[in-house]
Amino acid sequence: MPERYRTVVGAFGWAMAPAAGCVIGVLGGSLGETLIAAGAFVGAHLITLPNSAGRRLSLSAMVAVAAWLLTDSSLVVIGGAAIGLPIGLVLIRLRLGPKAVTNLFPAESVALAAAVGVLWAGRLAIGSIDEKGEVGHLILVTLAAGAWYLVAAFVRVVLPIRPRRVFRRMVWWEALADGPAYLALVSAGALFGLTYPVLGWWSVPLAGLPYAFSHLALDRLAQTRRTYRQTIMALGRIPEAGGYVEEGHARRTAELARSIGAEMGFGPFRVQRVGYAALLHDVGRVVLNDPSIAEYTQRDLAQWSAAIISESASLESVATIVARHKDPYRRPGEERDPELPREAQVVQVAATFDRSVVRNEVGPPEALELLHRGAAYDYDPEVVAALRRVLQRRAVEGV
Amino acid sequence: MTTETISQRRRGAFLAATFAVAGGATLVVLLVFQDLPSPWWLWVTLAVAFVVLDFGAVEVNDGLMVSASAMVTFTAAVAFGRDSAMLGVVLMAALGLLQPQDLRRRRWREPAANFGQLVLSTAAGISIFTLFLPEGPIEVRNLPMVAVGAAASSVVYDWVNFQLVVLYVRLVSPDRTGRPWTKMITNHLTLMVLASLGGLLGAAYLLKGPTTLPLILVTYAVGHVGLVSYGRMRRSHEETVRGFVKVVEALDPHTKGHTERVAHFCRITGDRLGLDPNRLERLRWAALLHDVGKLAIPAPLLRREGPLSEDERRMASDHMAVVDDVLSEVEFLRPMVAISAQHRTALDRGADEMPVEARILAAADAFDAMTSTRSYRAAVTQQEAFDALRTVADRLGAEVVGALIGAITDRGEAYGSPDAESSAEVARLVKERVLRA
Repeated sequence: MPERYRTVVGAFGWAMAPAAGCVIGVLGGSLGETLIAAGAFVGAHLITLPNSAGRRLSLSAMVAVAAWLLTDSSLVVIGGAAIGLPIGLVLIRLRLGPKAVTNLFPAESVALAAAVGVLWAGRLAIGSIDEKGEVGHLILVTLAAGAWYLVAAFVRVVLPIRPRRVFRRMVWWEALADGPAYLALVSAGALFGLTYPVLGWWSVPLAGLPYAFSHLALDRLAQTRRTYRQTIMALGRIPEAGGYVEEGHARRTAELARSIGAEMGFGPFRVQRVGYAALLHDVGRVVLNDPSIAEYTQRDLAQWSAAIISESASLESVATIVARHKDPYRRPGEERDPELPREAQVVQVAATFDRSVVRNEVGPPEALELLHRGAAYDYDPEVVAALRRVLQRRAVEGV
Repeated sequence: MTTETISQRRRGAFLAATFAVAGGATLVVLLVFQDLPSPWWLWVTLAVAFVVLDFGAVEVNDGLMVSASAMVTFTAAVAFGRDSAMLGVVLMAALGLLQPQDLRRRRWREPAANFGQLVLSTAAGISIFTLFLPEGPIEVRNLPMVAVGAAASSVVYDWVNFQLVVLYVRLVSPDRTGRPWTKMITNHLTLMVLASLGGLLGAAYLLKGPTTLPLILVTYAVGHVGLVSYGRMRRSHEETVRGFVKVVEALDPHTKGHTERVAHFCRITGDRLGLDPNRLERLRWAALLHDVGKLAIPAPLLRREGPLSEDERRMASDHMAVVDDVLSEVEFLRPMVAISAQHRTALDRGADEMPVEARILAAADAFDAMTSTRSYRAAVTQQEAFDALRTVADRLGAEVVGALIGAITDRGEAYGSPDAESSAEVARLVKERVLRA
């Protein structure tokens, strides 16, 4: 479909959603409650909460859980979401840019649909909520929230990486990254939904203050994580500042190494370790810049870099990768060393590729060819194959 | 072991025993006059939550510890009601004596002192709080009193706790100084909010029933896990920067310990000048970072036996400037790098042009440089360093120089050569070495 038509159809869909929401609300028995829910969904997009991976989630799950506990009509919640979600997403786009919207749409909408499906199925299975009492209602809402959680993680994993292989564990990693933030949202929503009928507006501070406490803690965590990453990036660039390596080598190597790691199915923490190792792999040059050191091998450099990194106890695992990143994959006549971390080979391949392209001014296909020639002895063939896939996806010419 | 240390230990043991006896007596009185908390499973659940949160107190700023355990104590006080609130909560707080570091080091004196301190301060705080609780079943109209009462009682708890700690520290370690109670305003406010919230959660439990309990516990847990992860990440961040500082000091052995000493001088000077915890934290980071740029300076220049030529000085300065640019890419470090970069030019500019943090760092850096022996000159005596600092007070700010000198003098710390003769002797040796080089 041409871009022009796609835009028109998309805009029509977004404009129709609130109208459909009003109709659904009327069918659900209360347009007023639907509009209140819509307002809450819009408000839920004015504040965002970072998950462990630094992606920001809206507070929609909190609103949905509270609404499910406060009203018996799922149609009111669906209608409210149909009106509130598009408006909220527009606000998010205006405030934080289009990337923030891709974190939420369509994951949130599909997750909401799945959660409503679970609620309906549950009600069909157990009959009237009133008969089952408050605990039954709470269990059902918890199941619906669980469905939201898993479906949102699944959609976020599947959509952006369609061309790549989807590992089942990726969904779990995504879900794990959401875990604490999602628990905070759902528990605050449930606390509000349960206590509002008894405490009235007192339930706002009651649910809001603990949520604010969790929000502050998670926000500070995300902020510290980001600055920690930036600090390592800055420290990794010190050899560049001294003029010992090419400008941008550490950053480019880290970016490529992370992509190769993700391509090979490494988990988020492993990808992060690979990135840190790639950023810091040349830091030993600050020690070896002394003219009194006549010559040194690449392995000496790796050992010095590792020695510097291991001064920070929290980077011990990164130091291990850097210490071995100049080791050959396999020596002729020997089996592959099982102790050699695969992450070390990823850093080695990414650094060699970048050095070939930037310092030796070799084209990417030729640089890849050089790595292929060294595969099986110097470089891990699987890592080189992953690099090729990464370059192909980036549409690098000639690869 | 010195005589002073033995007498300190004796005083500490005596005080710990006194605290423990006073705490035990308070518990006995409460056992006589209050009902046991009921239901027992609620007490056990909240006690477990209390211990977990208390063990996991996190330092969120320079010396500021935050734990959500205060929230649990007030939840428990409301949930158990007037007749058993004090006993239930005091029994729970007494579990706080088991601190992980004491268990690891198998210390008994601190747990005994902690026990007394926690029992006495909690009993004082909760006794005030019970005055705000209704005599009959709790109702929605009682909620404002619960929230306000919890906040007020938390201040009482905090004050008693602080006074007991100060008493203990003053008698056992007179050389240690703590921040005045009035300056811990952030701490009090955090505690007041947590206490009010705890009180409201307790009321919600009574008004709505046990279904709120798992939600309350999840809420506690998420915030706690977030704080613990934040604390861990913060430590990793600092460890990483300290690791690189160690490398700088390994490359230039004459500066060994320099960064840590400068950070210490900055802290005591900033504290004396009344900088708030956030500014002190920024100053500490600036002190840690102020020499990291040396990593980009060629090693021969760093290890040079003798003063640098003008060209070499410019070259070193250029490298430091490039590293400053690199470090400025870190959002959080940007203000600190600016302070660290500005301190190098502090002596060339007037006090009005420089932020106080940069001047503190410059004064601390200069003091440590003067009182340490470098490859090309000997350390001077502390008095000579003080005199030299006073001569540049117009550029560093008289209040900064005065605060640094006052803080070191008051703490009885001594740096530099012990006397002018040793200083002259080291100077002679250094001069000979420089001439040989």
